[in-house]
Amino acid sequence: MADLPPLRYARPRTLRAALTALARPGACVYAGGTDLLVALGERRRWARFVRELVDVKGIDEARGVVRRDGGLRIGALVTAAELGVDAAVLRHAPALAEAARLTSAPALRGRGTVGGNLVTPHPAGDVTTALVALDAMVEVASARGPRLVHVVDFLAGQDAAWPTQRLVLGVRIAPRPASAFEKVAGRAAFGRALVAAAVVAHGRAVRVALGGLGARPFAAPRTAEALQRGDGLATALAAECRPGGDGDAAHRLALAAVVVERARARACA
Amino acid sequence: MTAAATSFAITVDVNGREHALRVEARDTLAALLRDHLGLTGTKIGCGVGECGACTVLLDGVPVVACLVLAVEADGRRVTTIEDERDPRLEALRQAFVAEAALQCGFCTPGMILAARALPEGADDEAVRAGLAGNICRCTGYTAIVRAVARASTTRGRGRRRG
Repeated sequence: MADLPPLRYARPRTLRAALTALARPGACVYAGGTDLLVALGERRRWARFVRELVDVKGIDEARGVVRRDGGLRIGALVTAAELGVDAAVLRHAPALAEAARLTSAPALRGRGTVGGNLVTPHPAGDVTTALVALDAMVEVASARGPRLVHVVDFLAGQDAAWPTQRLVLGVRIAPRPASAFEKVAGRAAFGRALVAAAVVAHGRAVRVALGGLGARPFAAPRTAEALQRGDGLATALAAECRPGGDGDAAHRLALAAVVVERARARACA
Repeated sequence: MTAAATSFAITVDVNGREHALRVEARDTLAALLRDHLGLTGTKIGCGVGECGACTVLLDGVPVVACLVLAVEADGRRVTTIEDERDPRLEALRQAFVAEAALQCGFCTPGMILAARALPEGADDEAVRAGLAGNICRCTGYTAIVRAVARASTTRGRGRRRG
């Protein structure tokens, strides 16, 4: 890796100070750094605006997992390592815990955060894929208090708006014990998912999110319908997926059918 | 550190020794260890967090030193392969030699620190999962897993000052 470019660094202690810092030109939220520092070192286009890292790890509002309104509120600073073993997450949203445990490698899981997985422009963030299937609401900080944005809208805005310097404080999910996450990657550790699927069953409804098959993880309602009907899965996947990138498209679509079925089988067991 | 700056005076405990030094905001923890302190046991392989060669412990938790800023180590405790105080690290070093768990040796410091972060008595599956982020291009991993198992049984015996 090349050296990091010249940078300023700040570690505000309060949310208000963090928002002030993030309003400066070239300021960027810094938390786990597992994607951002790589992007800076490699001079990737999406990180070229960055002149200042605002380390938000001191912001209390973005910590911890708590029960709230019958569901869970997960702070943006919660790491993949913490998420994967959190008792409340394991019980109420197993798909999310599974996604966290399959993310990357131990030394990176201890650093990478929920908020970082949402804002980093990856096609297959595991935690993000699970959050899409779980219909999560994303808390975005603003001077007037947190705004709640549905995760799908958040991701759509993120693609268009990066760099936005948006500060994610946390995510909120309803309890969905019947949920599961599956992925196939080239290598067990790190392996950005070739294909990932999260399936959530709730009452009669089934919700499916896919990773690695589009620019960002996305909800796949036709695939969910096909799963429930028990027919037309390949057609639905072909209609909903945009399997570009590395690997060939037909292979990814075939894998998608496998991981969706596996996740459904466990979610509905 | 609450105000934005391009360089910072920090203090960091590395292997039980307190160091006061000035680092740039863009310096990584790997650069702090290797360039500022001359502790070149921590290797830099890929520089992007994918090979695990630069794994060290930050307050006892494994991190890849290429993806942590030096300034983040302020007031914290770093453990590297040069730590001579820790009997479990010494047991791992000796076990890697005894099991011939290295050839070129470049990945070894990262492997040993990643192994040090595992709970004592971890079974082979847990060892493999714990070392999943560390690449070795020479050994095929079998001897490495064997060495970690051996270290957990030889702990505290035959200690040698290196």
